Amino acid sequence: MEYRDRTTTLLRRGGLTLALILALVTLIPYYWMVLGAFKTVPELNRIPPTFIIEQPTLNSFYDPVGEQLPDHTRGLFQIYPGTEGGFWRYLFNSAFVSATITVSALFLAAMAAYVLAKHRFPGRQALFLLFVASMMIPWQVTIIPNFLNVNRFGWIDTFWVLIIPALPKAFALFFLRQYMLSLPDEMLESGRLDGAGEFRIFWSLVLPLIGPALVSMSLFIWLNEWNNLVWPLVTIRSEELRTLPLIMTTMVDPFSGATKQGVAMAAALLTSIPTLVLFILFQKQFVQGIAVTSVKG
Amino acid sequence: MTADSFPISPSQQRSPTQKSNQLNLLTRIWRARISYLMLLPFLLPFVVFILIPLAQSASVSLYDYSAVASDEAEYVGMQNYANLLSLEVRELPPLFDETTGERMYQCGRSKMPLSEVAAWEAAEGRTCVLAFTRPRDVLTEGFSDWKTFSLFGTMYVLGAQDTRFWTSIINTFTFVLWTVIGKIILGLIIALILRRQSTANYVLRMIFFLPSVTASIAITVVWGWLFKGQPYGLINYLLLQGGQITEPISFLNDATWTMPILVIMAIWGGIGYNMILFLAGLQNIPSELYEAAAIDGAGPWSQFRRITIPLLRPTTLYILITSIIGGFQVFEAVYILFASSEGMGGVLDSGLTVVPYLYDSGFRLFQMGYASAIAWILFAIIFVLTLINLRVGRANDAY
Repeated sequence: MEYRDRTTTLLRRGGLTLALILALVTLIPYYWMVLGAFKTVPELNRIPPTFIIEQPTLNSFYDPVGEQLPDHTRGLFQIYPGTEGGFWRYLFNSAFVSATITVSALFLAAMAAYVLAKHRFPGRQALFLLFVASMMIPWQVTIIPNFLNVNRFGWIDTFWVLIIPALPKAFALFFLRQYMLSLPDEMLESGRLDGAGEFRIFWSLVLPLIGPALVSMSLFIWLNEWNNLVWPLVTIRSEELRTLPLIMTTMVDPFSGATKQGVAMAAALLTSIPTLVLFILFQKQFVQGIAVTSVKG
Repeated sequence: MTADSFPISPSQQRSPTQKSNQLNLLTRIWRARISYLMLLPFLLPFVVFILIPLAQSASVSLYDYSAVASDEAEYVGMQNYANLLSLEVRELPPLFDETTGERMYQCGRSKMPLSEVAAWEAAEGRTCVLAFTRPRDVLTEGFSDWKTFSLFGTMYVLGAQDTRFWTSIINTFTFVLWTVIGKIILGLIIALILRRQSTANYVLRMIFFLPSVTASIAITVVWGWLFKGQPYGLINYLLLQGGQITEPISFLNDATWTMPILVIMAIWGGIGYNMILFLAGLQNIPSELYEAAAIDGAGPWSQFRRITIPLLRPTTLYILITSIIGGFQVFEAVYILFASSEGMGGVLDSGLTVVPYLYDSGFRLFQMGYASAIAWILFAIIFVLTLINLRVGRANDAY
């Protein structure tokens, strides 16, 4: 018995050490991003690199001295003179598109989910099966006709093309419907007896009750849209409508030194900060939301 | 519309089914008009952006469809699929000298009979290899050589009509294999270590989960800079410091490193997600099982093998399926780190996986029909692998 206790302790200590090392490795890219975003140009170019910033600076974001190599270079908010607002504009585009999609897609999915969970009508089963089956189809299958269609609609290079095709989210409908099935029918019934219309029941009785599900789902949708690269890549041409993922594609160039490390790190930092803040605020929901994402597969 | 006239409430529809069957269908549809109305805002974009495109995609994949000249689309039937999938194996006959019948050797750029080889090797200081017929002389027209291999002393060439497609398939399978193994093993190990509830464990869990919830696209950029070769980035610096290498490696321009980099990034980004799923699975294992096993004298290893592993099987199966599906769809990392104006897949197509190849065909070369066919093949592969997974998982559950 004593021998066994010792092995267990050893295992536990060894395990914790391993976990600590792996956790440090996990944090390296974040650490390097923060470090790189606040280093001066000379410090960025120094070999060996510094692991603690000697001279923190905001020059990678905005450098009053501007384009004066080797010690200064234009910051992130200065390198897009062709776009009104510069990098702010891209932050806004991404935030606007992701937020609009999240709110509208959730609203549509929740309303449909309510009907499918609580109403009985001809075709209900068939529609539900259709939506569930559609979750199996990878986006790669529909992207080409979708591109050809939006091209015909004349939507290329508009906000419409980024938002409207992203609205039908079958996995959100599926998840919310499963959640709504557990709502007591008696409560909805009492709402009807009070003379509330169906939309009213959905809006003021059902929605407040599925709050946790809505939060998990919206975090999931928002994060996916914030990261969405492929669709803007094929449908957006003009500089003003670019979203952050499109900017990110210009931030690594293995062949030339045209992109500056400090600027790239600053852009990466600003792109990940909103997701980091949401994660810190909603850790529980994110973790629970994995049950949600599990639906997507 | 009052509640009384509205026959959708549960209490009413639970009335004897016979009665509702007597109502004719149109009446039932009319009475449920509010339901349809509330479904419509979802249904409409669903039909326009998922259902119709699905049918279109199947149809477009049967055409030689170029978006720049879309009115000239030509129906080609299964030709796109045939082009993508056809493979042929041909024997490569050895070469003999036409007059003497001697075996020919390939020495540098020229071919010579065996009798001259020794002299050439001595003069050049290089060695010669057996010469074979050129692959393109034995392959059917339209095929090019993808791989040559020898089997029982005979040389063969494996030809494909689209060698890039087959390269992308092999690359994708390689990527999926390594990422799935890495993510599952590390995710399970970390879940086991951080299994008990404590503040320290909670913080560590959140650290591992971080990559799953922060903008992956931004962190990919950071990885790009970490792996940078010239001027060298952190990883080159650490390897140089540690003495593993003497010259910085151009990780991003070196075909042998493309796949390891993609795999490392994917594992890094996926551990936390799997860890959370494994933690949930572990929580569902009743602690009495371990207590009983401990009383019976089972050590940690046999507890792990006989309790933890079998009871985690549903979780593992689920992770396996989702990881495979996700792995087959890899795109962003390849695009951000390796795409250039010449192609999507990096040096020598070493990072060309299926989705970047689809993007390359559809949106760089504008072969829409061809790209759609790739998408359907991808779908078929994912579908079949998922079915196999489910079947194997069920069979194991039975014992």
